[in-house]
Amino acid sequence: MNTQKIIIDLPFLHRLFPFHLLIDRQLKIRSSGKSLQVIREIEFGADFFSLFTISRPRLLDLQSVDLASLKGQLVILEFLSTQEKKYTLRGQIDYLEKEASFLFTGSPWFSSMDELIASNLTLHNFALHDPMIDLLHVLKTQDITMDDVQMLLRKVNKHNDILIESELKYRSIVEKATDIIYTINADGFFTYVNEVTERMTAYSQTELLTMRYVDLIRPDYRKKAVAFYLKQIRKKIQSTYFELPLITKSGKGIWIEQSVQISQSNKDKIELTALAIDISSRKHNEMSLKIQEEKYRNIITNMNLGLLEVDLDHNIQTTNEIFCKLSGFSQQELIGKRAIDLLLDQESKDFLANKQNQREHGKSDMYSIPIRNKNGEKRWWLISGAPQFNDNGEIVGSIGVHLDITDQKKLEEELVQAKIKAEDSSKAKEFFLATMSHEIRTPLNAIVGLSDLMQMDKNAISEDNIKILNFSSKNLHALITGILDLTKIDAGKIELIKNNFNLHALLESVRLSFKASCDDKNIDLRLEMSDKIPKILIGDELRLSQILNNLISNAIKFTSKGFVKIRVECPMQEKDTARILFTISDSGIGIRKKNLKTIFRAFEQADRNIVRQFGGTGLGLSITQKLIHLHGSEIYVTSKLNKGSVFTFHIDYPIFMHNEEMGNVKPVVNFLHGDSLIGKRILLVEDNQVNHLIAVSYLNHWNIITDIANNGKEAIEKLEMHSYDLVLLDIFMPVMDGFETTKKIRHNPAWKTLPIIALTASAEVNLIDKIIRLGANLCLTKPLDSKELFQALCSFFVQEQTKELPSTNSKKINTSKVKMPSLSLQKIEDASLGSLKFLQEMIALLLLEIPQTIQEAEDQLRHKNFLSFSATIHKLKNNLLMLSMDYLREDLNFLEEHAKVTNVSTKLRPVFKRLKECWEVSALELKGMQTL
Amino acid sequence: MYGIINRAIEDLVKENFGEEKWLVIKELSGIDVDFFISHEPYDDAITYQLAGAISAEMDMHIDAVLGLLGEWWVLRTGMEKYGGLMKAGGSNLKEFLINLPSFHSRVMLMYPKLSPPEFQVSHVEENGLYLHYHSQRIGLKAFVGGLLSGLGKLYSSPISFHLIQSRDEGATHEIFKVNW
Repeated sequence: MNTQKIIIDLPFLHRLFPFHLLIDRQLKIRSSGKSLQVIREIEFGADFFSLFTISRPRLLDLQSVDLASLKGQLVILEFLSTQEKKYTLRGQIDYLEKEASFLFTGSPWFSSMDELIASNLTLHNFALHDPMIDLLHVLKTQDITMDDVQMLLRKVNKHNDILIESELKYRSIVEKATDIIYTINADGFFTYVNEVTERMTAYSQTELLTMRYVDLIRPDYRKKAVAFYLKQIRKKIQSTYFELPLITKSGKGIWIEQSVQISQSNKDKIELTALAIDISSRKHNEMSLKIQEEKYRNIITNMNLGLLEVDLDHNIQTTNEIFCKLSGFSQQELIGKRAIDLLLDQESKDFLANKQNQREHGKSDMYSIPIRNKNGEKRWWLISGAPQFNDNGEIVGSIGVHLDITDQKKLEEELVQAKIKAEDSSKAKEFFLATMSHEIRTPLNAIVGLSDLMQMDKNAISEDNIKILNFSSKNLHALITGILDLTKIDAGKIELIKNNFNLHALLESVRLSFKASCDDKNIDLRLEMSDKIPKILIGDELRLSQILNNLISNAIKFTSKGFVKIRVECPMQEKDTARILFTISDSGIGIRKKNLKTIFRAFEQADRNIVRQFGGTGLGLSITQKLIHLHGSEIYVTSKLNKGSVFTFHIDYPIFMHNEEMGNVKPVVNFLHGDSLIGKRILLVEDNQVNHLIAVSYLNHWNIITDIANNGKEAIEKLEMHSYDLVLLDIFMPVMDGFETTKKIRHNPAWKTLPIIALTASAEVNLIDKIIRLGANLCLTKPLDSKELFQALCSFFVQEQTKELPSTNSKKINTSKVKMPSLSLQKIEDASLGSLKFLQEMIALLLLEIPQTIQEAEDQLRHKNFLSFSATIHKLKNNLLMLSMDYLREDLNFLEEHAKVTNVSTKLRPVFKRLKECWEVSALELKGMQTL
Repeated sequence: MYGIINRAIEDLVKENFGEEKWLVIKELSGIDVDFFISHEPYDDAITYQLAGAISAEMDMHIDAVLGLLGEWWVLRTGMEKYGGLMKAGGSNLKEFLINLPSFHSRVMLMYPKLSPPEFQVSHVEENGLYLHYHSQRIGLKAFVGGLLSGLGKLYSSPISFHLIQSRDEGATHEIFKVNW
């Protein structure tokens, strides 16, 4: 061991040990460190134990302290400062032999830096090798760390409190929630359920916590649900939404929608938290809605309605089968395509673009639109369109229901045309009525005015006035006849009756019938017939004569000088058909170009002034055109004003090929002279004495042998006893009426071809139609017109020789003295064919029969025998109208028709009384006429 | 740096600009640390990000922020956290500055995870000295300036200082000439 001694000088001791103590063997302090002096001033020579105590190690003998024994031990000294503060020094004591002193080296012990500063010490009071400061620093650091820990704990506690509070709050929410809340682990077992879950499933919490969620799912849905949530777990999808059906403990089915959140704990345990609500009600509604929707779709399908859903760009989303059928396209061809490109032309596209705009504003409407189907056919669709919304209420397209209305559209167009025509017709009718009113009033005024005048002043009864009365009456008759013809044609009640006829004879007859009137006007009436015209044709000669009569009478009416020409040609003849071309031209006033289009319209004439200048009904050309249309042909007109007019038409007639058999076929129509009728035997079936008289008068005039039957029963009896060439048969008769009689006649093979001409005072088309259907060949309306009857009779009796229709003019009765008040003898006069005797007999008969009939009717009314009353009034009507008492027609019709349907006489009596009074006045006048 | 520096920044902001502002600045800095443990080392970047966020949010130059932080470190953190340690550094400014090198040497030993700067003192005169600043970190000289200002205030001694050399100008370290 190196025992070399080192001498330490005092400054060195102070630098290295600023808290040292040097103590001599007498335990007196020889030196103390400078830093120790800062704490307490220590005097040189002071007794060590008077200032310090050794607290460690414990000294056993305080009387003889041996500091040398402390060598090698940690020594802790304690002493008091001047402030009585107790200080501790930590160090060691060694003995310095050279100095014969003990050396204490160490430093004060502080528990904190603050204590150090309180001792007025600083860093430089310590030797650099002394770690006391560092120790204090470390201690301070520990304090700071402790502060950090406490702060952190406070923070953690605060967060913990918040967490607990939050958990409590959420638990409370969860417990009080009205929704189902539960958690399940990765194995699908419930780990938490709230009360609502218990209530909804009817399982207790205890039960549920032993169950897996899949146990609650409706069996048919389990596989789907499990797959769904396994995917969520596998792909770690944070949140999912799913709707699924559950079965409760009681077996009841409910639907829930649930949002499931996935969470993973630190231990990698997966947990699913579900928030669910009961949507059974909504599901039920959805199902109902689906059923409803299906129902409406079925309805739409069953109603043949096409359904189409498009997006905002018209791209087709869905269609039904009917729409495919309507459009001609298949589903594959439609889906995804733009409907407007497939089906619409440009004009319709523009129209639909406007509709689309309305859709985008939420408007619904209905419209019709033309489309072209896959085959390119134009069809009309009625479309009811409405906007379609998504769940957010945004418009996403439109839905339309489509109905094919092509047929209706056609009908509609036809109706529009018909309406236009009807309106035109109505306007024309209005004009016609206004004109007719004038036309009717004119002759009526003449009749009423002149008859009043004649009644008041006998000198007024002149031939001129009587001519005026005659003209006025005929004009009225023409008006009524025209209206009836037009009505029949318009009602489609006229059918062409095809018979063999001699066109040459017919044309000659027509010429002759107009000759007199042309002679009167000094007009040249020409008939030019081509030799090529076949002799016998098959067709409706009556309608042809009506056409010719109308055209020729018009030509004559509007021609004051020059000619009226009838040219008939045969420009074309095939094997069994001949085209006959008729041209009726005149040198008359002509027709303005602008009027050429309207002259064929019913109720119109070329110029309305013409009505007033030339008279007429304005129906002639319309009737003519319609009759030509019935023949499948057309009439044409050319005209030059003040030069004349040319009417042209043709008719294709089958040619009768067996002329040699003429005697065996049905008589050919012809207009014949009265001589052709000589010796013919006709049975007149009529209950009315007045009609007897008129008809017999005509028939006698034409030297026809007439037999009379008062009803159908009598007629059958007479037919069985005698042979007749023709039957004139009244329709309404007692015992057996005309219908029954016709049936019985046609029922007998012997009378199959016996001509029957029915007679009726009724203008009812149905009655005429009915009697023709039963077998009558013709039907004439009463009062009988001699010309009509003549032509009708001629149509059944063929003769080659043709003569002029016997004129009655030469035998015209001089009625200049006849008084003409509110009744007229014109019809009787016409029927008399010039026989004054007939006229007188007729008046006598009427004066006898009418009062009897009135009395009969009055009795029936009193006894409320209404049906008999009706029949009697019918009979009375016949007689009164014979006297031209047309102003009573309305009353008579009312009495006749109303009596058929009533069982009280309240309404009948006043009318009948008025009728009776009128007759009483007229009877006096008629008696006056009888005496003249 | 140790968390205590970042805590000092947090305290500085909260005390001067309010709790809300601190949340804004923290958000702005992008730092996701809820609590800075005083003697736990953190990435230096955190301190720079916080200082940068204060600069941006308060519209202050970064050197001003660091200077403020230096003063705060001495007057508030040093005094409040370490209390006597600061005072024990010296009985006056000169003594403290002269002790500064050995103080940091002690700190280096006490905090092994810390890379504290190293200070040297030269040209010690009655009213001045040269303070040599060696640091691995760049851009904290303004912080040192703040420390000096803070020490002046701590010892109630007027102090002036300026850089007489800097790493910015190619020198090996910064030298502050300090006078009082």
